[in-house]
Amino acid sequence: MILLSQAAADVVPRGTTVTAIRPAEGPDYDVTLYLTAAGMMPRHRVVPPLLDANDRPQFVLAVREPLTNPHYRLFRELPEGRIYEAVK
Amino acid sequence: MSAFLAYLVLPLIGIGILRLDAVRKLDLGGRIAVAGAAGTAIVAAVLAALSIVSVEWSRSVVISIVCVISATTALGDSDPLIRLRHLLPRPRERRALEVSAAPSSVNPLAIATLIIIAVLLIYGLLDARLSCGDLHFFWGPKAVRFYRDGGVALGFLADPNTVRMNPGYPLLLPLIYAWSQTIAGHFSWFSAVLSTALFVFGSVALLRSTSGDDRSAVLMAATLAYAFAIADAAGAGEPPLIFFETLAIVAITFIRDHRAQTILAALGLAGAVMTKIEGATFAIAVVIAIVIVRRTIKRTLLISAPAALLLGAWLAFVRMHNLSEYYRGAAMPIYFAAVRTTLATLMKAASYELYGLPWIVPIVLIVIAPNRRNAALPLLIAFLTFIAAFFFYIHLPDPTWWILSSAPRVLLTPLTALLIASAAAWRSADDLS
Repeated sequence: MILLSQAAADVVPRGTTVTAIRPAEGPDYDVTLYLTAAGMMPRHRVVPPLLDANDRPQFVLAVREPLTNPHYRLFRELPEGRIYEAVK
Repeated sequence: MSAFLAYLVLPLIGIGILRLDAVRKLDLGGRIAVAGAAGTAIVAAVLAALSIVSVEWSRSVVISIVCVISATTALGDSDPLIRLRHLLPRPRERRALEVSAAPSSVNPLAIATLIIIAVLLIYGLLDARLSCGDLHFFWGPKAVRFYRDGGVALGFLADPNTVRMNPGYPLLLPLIYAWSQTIAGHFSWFSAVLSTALFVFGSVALLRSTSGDDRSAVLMAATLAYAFAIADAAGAGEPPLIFFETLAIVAITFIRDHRAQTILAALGLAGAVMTKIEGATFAIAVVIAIVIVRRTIKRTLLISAPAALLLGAWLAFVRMHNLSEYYRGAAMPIYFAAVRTTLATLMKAASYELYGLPWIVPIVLIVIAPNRRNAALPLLIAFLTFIAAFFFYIHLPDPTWWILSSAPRVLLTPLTALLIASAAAWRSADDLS
């Protein structure tokens, strides 16, 4: 997550809401992953991984497995992981 | 590399502590360790003070202020170069190094064993196997955010999204990590992990230097290196916490000069309370132990005053800004039904996957020691901090996960105090404070 969030900091638009997960752990995602991203992405608003909430994060950083969620589509695939964008 | 150098220069920043005669009389390792503790405290204080007066951190500002403080404290009544020379080996030590004939007080086998243990620990640290998850979840991210924000940003600490990053935890460790970033211009995760070796062997150097006992130093090095590995404590709050706690305990146990004893113990307690919440528990245990064993109220007040003031100021800040904190854990309901499970799980964690050998060895050494009474003070600290850990764990109906994930680290404090007690039990009364 350190590497992915470092790379994502330059790719994801600044000021947007972002969270970080390992998709296989859903729906009870490990809440500690987004804390690492919170430190690495000071120009973004890093929030807890509530993907099905009404105010869901605009971007999701996913390590290891791909994310399958109707609210999100693939935004960018990086060597460190994938970035998903909320479907508007 | 420069990120790690930032940790290595901390003893130079704290060189002023060498104005104490009792510190100058310590061996080289002890002098460096004590100066390192003072340097750590100075750096953290400078970074915190700059945030309080809203001055943004920058390399030039921070280094200038730190250099001025270091030079001012080192100047005192003599040339700073003389102080710098005190950090170097004394003539006798230098001669010993040059002629490769170790003085009689140095045990070559012990030194060789310490080096082997250090190499093993550093290997374990560098392959990241001993890293603590907390480094990645909040110690490191907090430091990165502080550095990038140019100071301790209240908005970040008060953000509800970062409530799980323990915003109410004391700030010393993130500030030291931020110092490393300020020097290097980036956060080095490996330097943070590797700093664990400096804190562990700083603790060993403190015991060896103040007790003059090479075998106790080897036992402490082997036990702590192993326990840190089992506890996965690298990069977390425990390395500096144990370092400051060791300073406080060896100061009140082995240093006879009252002024130096008071100053070093106060520095150790202040550093401990500003590193982790558990540092506050440790400080209370030390105060109780000194009052019971030494019955010196005045010195106890002097030793504990800086820690009490710092902790009070930090708690006032936390409360004023309504930050999330766990200091009031003791006031939570107690689950007596969980006592049995808590005790069994705590014992399992305390075994350190080695049948409790890390505890058994120092206990046996105390039992067969010629001067068991000398161990009273550190032994009482070990007992009180162990009981405190148990007390906090019974505040959850099912603390099994909490104990298994944290107790190997939390119990490093009573384990360290026990190791120091075993060293004290083998000293004659003349060697103690």
